[in-house]
Amino acid sequence: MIPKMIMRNYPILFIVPAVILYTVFSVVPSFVGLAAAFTDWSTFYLFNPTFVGWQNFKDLFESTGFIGAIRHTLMYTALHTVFVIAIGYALAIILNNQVKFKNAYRVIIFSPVVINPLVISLVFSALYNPTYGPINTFLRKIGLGALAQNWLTEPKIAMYSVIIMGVWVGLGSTVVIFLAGLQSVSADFYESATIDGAGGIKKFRYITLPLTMHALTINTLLVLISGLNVFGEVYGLTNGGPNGATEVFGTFIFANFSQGLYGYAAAAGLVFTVVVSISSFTLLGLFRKMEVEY
Amino acid sequence: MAKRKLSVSLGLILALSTTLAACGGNNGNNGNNAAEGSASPGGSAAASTAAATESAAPAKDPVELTFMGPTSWMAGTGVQDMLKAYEAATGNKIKQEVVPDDQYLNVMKTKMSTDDAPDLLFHNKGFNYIPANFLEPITGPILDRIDPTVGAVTTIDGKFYQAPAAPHSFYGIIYNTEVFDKAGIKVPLKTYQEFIAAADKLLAMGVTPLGLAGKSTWTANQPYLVGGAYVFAKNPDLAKQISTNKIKPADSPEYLEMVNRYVSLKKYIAKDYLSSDQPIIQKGLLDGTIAMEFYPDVTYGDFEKEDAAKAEKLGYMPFTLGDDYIAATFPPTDEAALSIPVNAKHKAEANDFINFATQKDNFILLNTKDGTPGSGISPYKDFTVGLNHFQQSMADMIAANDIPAAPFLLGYLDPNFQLGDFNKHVNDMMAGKAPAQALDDWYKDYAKVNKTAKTEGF
Repeated sequence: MIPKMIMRNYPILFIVPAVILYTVFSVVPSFVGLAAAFTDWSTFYLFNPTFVGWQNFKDLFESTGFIGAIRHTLMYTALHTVFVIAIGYALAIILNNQVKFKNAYRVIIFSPVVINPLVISLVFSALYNPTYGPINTFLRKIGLGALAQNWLTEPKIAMYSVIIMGVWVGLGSTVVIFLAGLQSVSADFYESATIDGAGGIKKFRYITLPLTMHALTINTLLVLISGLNVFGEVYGLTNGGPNGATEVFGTFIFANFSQGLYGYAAAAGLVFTVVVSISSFTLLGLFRKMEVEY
Repeated sequence: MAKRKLSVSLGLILALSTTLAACGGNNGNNGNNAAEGSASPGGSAAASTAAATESAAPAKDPVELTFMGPTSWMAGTGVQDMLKAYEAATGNKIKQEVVPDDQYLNVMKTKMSTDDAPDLLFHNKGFNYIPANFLEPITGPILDRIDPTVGAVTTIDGKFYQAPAAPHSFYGIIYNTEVFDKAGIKVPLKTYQEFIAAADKLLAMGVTPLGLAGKSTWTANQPYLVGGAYVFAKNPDLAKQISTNKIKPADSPEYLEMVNRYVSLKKYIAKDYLSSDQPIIQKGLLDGTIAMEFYPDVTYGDFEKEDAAKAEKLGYMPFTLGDDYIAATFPPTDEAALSIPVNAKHKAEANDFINFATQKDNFILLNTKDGTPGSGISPYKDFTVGLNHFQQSMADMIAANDIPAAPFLLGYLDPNFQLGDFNKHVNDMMAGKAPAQALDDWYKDYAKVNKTAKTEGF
């Protein structure tokens, strides 16, 4: 006979292992990271960190490297989000129509999602090679040699080169979500609109856009967060260079962690978390107001 | 319910704080530990001699020493042969712990901090890589054999912590002798003014005076480190003041002047230097389209492999940004070194090992790669190592012109001083940032690291 108390609480017993694992590997490290941000924990004195209050945060905002990383991260996020959403939405609309070989196109567009960003970075490094890369070679071949650039080593251009790769990587999952949203819109709306004499632009403005706003919301949020989180693409392509021109939050934290400044890196991570949270919730609130019920 | 949530959260934070506090109690790495239980090198001459004699003799009770090193170094046949020679000579066994290069420092420090330290470490020399408080002082005959200039870099309060395990190389200028002859330029260029005059001549000839393989971020610092050494050589107090936070580099007129002179070289460097990698510069130097390059002398083999006949026409010379000081400079840090963790289990045997490995034959064996012995300046007084063409060229030039050999810029700074991201401010200046601003940004960066490392004065 199983005791009543166990019978009553047995669902809880099922989730205990998961909760323990989650606590040990997620909750505890988060709190340790939070605590570490207020200490001078470093590789120099690994086991005796001392409390330094807000010093790490003060140092962060006095560091030109960190300010640069914030600026670059925001620039990357803004451009990456705009282009991924715009191109992703356009591609999804095209693929939602009766296009030949649309399944093949879908596979091609989705393929970057399943490839490791570091591998993609290596491929793009080869594409961007100023001497032997296919991009510059092509430009020279067609007589546009003046447009051939040092794509990854010219500080004014490097960030745009990273963004182009980031957009290509980000398109796959975005298109899938937009497609799901588009397919959920009933064809009846479009038939009625056609009967009422609405053209393509009006159908998009008054049917497609409002009825896929939930897909737009989730996509924008996901792309925005992935933009703020960018690391693998930058690390693999430029590692923050040339001369810090592509330094982002992720590479800044990684560089300081590698230098053994754990407390300082944790403080940067905490600021990063706050920035991501504020951006996400602000955007979420904004989009919620624009969604329509049907 | 809210109260319950709050108490759970507080409990969690308390538990975490306790965990951190408990960690703090297990202080295996403070500065005092390094000093404890270690003999003063100065007072251990008799013990040292005895240790050296025993180091080559078979051990009475053989022990197993753990030897930790980065993958690329440990793969060398010379390293493996030297370890076998040690085992054969002493009867002790060597257990190798090989760690991927990019994870080496972190793994090493973590192992030492968790009391899982190996007996011997093979690493880049300098306290920027491993602070002295992690290490046991090295004793024995090595203290009498080490070149004092080299030894000073890893000596604190008379205690010697890291033994050089590779010859030192000169850092200077590779130049194309034929181009120089054609331009009528006589070497060495003993002052900054002579260098500028020569670079102007080369520019007028349509040759790129300077090549820098800027794709590797460290190359831009070469003229700075080599040419800037004069500022500390002439005023060692300034190095001490910067190392102990008594003055910021940007606030020193001498230092700022040196950096301005460094920036003035930009005019002579190939335009797309950030995209240039070494093979491009190497080819330019061999073909004579580039007249000079700042690069370490150990790279001669690469030039020789590309075109042995043309490589013979290249020379190597010292460089200065000063008005009246020039030296053949070498990096006091970065080369391979051997050391003993403060919590090694077999400290005495590890110390004997280092004395054994730094003797002439073993040292040469240790530095042999693919059957070719390493070349450069021996860090030990009792033997020399072979020189390659660049090194010989430099040796001949400094002998003929009575030029001293001395550390480059960083060799004058206090051994405990943490550099921070030195290369960043150098590259910033090359990218157009005002020198004073770049120096201040570097100061903020290194002050942060030194504060954390509890360096004196920060």
